[in-house]
Amino acid sequence: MAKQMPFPAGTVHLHVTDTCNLRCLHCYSDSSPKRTTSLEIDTALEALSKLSQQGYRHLSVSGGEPTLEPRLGELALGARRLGYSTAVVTNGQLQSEKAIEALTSFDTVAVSLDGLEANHDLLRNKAGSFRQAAKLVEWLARAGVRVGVVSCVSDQSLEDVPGLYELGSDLGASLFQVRPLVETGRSQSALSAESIERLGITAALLASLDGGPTVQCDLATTSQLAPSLDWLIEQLESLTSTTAEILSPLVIDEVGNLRPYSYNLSGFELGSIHGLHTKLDLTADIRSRLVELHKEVRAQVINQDELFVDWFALLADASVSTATQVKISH
Amino acid sequence: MNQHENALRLELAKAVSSRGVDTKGVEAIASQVKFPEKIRGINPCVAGICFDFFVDYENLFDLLKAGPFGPVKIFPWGFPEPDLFHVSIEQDFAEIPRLG
Repeated sequence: MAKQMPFPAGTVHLHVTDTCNLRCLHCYSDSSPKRTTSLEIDTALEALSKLSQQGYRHLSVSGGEPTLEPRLGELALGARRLGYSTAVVTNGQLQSEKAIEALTSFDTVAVSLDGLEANHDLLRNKAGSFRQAAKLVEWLARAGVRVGVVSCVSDQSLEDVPGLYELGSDLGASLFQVRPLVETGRSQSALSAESIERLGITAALLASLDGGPTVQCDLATTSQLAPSLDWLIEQLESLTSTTAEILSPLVIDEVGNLRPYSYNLSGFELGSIHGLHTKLDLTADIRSRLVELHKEVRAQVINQDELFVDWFALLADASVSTATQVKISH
Repeated sequence: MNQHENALRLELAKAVSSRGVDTKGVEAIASQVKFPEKIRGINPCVAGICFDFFVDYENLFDLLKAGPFGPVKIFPWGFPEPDLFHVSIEQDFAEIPRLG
């Protein structure tokens, strides 16, 4: 039986703000210049401190656009002091001295490029945004910063993926991450099942190349995911693993709400970081609900003919049928 | 991996992502990239592309179950690894430019 999930244990996804300097057509969080909700940085660091004591070790910050948060650098440095490895995802549009200083306070900077120039600028709703973002990748790589290209892939931009990999390689990126578009927020469509299969194969082939960026694909194979879900269900029932192993990634949204696995997992709110006085506790009630959720996903996985699946999308779909508000005990 | 094989894998990735390879071809490739860690070579061959694997007896069975595919050649590795097999699976991908 698999001893781990396809995604790293102990990861926190922190959405620091829903304010953005773009209004992308496919934004999963409906962020825009008109949105104004942001996390209070001191509160976020207090929560990260408590979570680190439970085994959380990796922090990924996104938004909205994180560089619009004036205290982003403080967040990065504070998290690193707590022992977190830190990464930030940016659209690369704001390149002020302060923004660059904040970005370079992270261990890894991921710049999102959601297609080659035509597709990217169309989705970003702004001409010139591709070149601006690519310029940041190149500048950071030359400055010795560990930089990655991260791409949300749609049916339209799928064919751009190998070209983005080559571009990232040429610009000096050391990481290349692809993830499928999901139908949530402003996105009106998800990556089709056929395109998911093609994306998985494309990523596997790119990952096998010598000399380029390390490739990460946010898809799991059905043969990998089914035993991982068996393991997860067993851990939830027996509690022989830590919360950080079972609940990863743990999402903190811009309001401070805690959710398991995905920003858009509805009905499984775990409470708020404002109420996180001691630690995140997996109550029997939460565990039984999550077991039902994973059993639902597992049933879908084993009945699927395709080789690759989007675990996050399956979770979101299953949560609609099993959703019930869960509470955090502390 | 040599530059030639690198270029071939990249061309294959481009053909798959741009829908140059049809659905049947994608299914054929999927049956083989299911074991990406075991792919030891992707080479041009008479049929189009050969995927080379080194697998033990147990994985050999799993690999062959993943078919159907084109002609398969199996070479027992012999001493000092009697349980190891070199498997070469041919696939016809007319959509992918021959680089050889």
